[in-house]
Amino acid sequence: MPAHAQTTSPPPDVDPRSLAISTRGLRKTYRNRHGRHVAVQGLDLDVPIGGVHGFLGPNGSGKTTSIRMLLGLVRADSGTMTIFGQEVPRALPDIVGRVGAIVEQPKFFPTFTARKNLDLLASAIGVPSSEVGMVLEAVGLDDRAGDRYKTYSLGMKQRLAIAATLLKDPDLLIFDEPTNGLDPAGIREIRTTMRTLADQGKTVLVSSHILAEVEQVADTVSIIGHGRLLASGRVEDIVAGSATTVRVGVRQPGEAREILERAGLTVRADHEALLVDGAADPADITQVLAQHGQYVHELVAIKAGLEAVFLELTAGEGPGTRADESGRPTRRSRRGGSR
Amino acid sequence: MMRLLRVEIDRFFSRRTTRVASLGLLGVVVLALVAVWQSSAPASKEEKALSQQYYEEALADWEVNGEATLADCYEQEEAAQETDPTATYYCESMAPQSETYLWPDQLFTDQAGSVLTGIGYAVLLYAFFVGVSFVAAEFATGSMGSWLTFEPRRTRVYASKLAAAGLGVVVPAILAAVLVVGGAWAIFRMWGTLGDVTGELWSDLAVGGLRLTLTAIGVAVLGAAVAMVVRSTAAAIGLLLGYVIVVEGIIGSAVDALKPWLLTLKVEAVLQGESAYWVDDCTTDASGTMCDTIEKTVSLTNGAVSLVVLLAVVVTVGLVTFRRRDVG
Repeated sequence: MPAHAQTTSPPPDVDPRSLAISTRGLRKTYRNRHGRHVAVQGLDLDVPIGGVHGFLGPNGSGKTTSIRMLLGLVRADSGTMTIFGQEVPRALPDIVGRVGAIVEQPKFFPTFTARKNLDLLASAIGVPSSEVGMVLEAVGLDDRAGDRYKTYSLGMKQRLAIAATLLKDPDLLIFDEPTNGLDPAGIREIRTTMRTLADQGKTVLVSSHILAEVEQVADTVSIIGHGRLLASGRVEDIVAGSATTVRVGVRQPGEAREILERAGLTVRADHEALLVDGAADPADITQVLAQHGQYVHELVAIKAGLEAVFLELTAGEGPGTRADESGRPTRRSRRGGSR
Repeated sequence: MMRLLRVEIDRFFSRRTTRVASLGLLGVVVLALVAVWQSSAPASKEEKALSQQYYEEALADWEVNGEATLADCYEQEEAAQETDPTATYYCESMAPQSETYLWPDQLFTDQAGSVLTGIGYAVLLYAFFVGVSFVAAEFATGSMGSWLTFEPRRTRVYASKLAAAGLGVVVPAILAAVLVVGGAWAIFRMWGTLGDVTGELWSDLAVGGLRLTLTAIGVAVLGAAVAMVVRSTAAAIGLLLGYVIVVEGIIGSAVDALKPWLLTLKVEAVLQGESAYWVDDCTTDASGTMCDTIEKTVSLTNGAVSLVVLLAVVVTVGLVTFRRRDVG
């Protein structure tokens, strides 16, 4: 269990109007040939206004389903959702102009040109067609605007999707796995775009299972597993609150391991060295070993990154996890704190 | 709503599938006119002279052998009536008839209605295909989800798509009807076989064209609504073909009680103003079972009301499905 001090349930007294997104007890169950599959079970999610918020979880943990429910594409079985304090999906028609979203892969009409695709969307929401040229230019696609969408590379498709969201000049942008399939340059481009948008005062929710990209750009994160919130808060707080592993080098690792385990520490072998968890201070390790005649020749504190926290929180979770009739996962997830 | 409708109509006519299907419909119109050309060509002077010669030869032969042939026919008919009192060999019509040898020229006044009905079926197939494809493509490409992130009011989205599909086929349907009737008129005029073309005929053709256009609108809307349910062009076309072959073809021809309800008869009634079908009326007595084939008709009103009810049911099912179903 990680040592960080967040709680899994956001405070109940949070005013949804102060949040870009808030969900409480959100639940969605799918039925298929193999029975029921609980995709989201009681998700409590808060996304603050402004900045980039990472929405993290393993594949199949319920990220996309949660986003689809927020956008009214999928019906929630139960629970409540608000966007900018307004209950959705009921109020979606009122606030849809403030929300731009790309869910999974960008999806446009393949035989239409990029401009035609955006022209249709712009006409549907009453945006002047002059805006289409501006957003295409903003994402660097003005030169290829007359090409059919199906001729676009994945990176260009992503940029076109971003251009489509910008037509509305939204306050909230939701990007679901935006860098899937992109090359490093494309990933960097998307990351820069998200940061730029956030710096303009917009709220960006980015779901991903690629931790490195989120850690570089996100101000806050929520980590989910089995459709439930496992941790949430500022990235540095979550990382700072996590356990520190200490790499210990000794001449007799076998004896040292027994000594440390008797002292209540968790020890794993790492080649010729030991990895020790649970020590409040690395100096405690040297003290315990010295008392038993074991002298340390290497002592390195390994600070956990977001990826380590994520892996620890979501250990044993993955796609296709089944749930029983009560909606409980058949494998228990390790619960971390949040906030 | 009008904004959405304008966008959907724009999309309808911008689709390559719509354009290719419209070219296909134009091709069918051309083929129909080629068929009219071939079937309506009057006999040449040489053909007429040859036919007259064959007729006169047959008449001469009849004058020599007709009496004996008739006597033989009546004898065989009497023998047959001993076992079946209703048996008739139509002996009195055995004498050569001039119209058997000298076919009268086809007239535009007689053929125009059937030419319009003929192209009607092609127009309806076109309308169903473009209606289905218009909506199913959105599910196939996943763009329906993107669209709903811009306009989440599903009833409006549904209504605009169905209305666009219906309005989209108006011009092609009218053009097809005008081209095929106008083309046929030009062909018959060229042959000099227009007949007595009156204002009443043009009025009937205009009403027929209007019925065809309205039916095409309904079928396109039906196709779009079906696509909302099955979400695949192939599945919708398969559904239609399966229904026509199994229900209308196999079961419909085998079960007389089902015939008044067959969709093809309803469509035919609307296109032609009336359609006919035949059922066996059988009585059984000591000598066995006797059956008469009776002609029955489906009126225009019957056909139109049936199609409107069907359309209303499918559109409602499509709306409920679209409003409730998760969109990927």
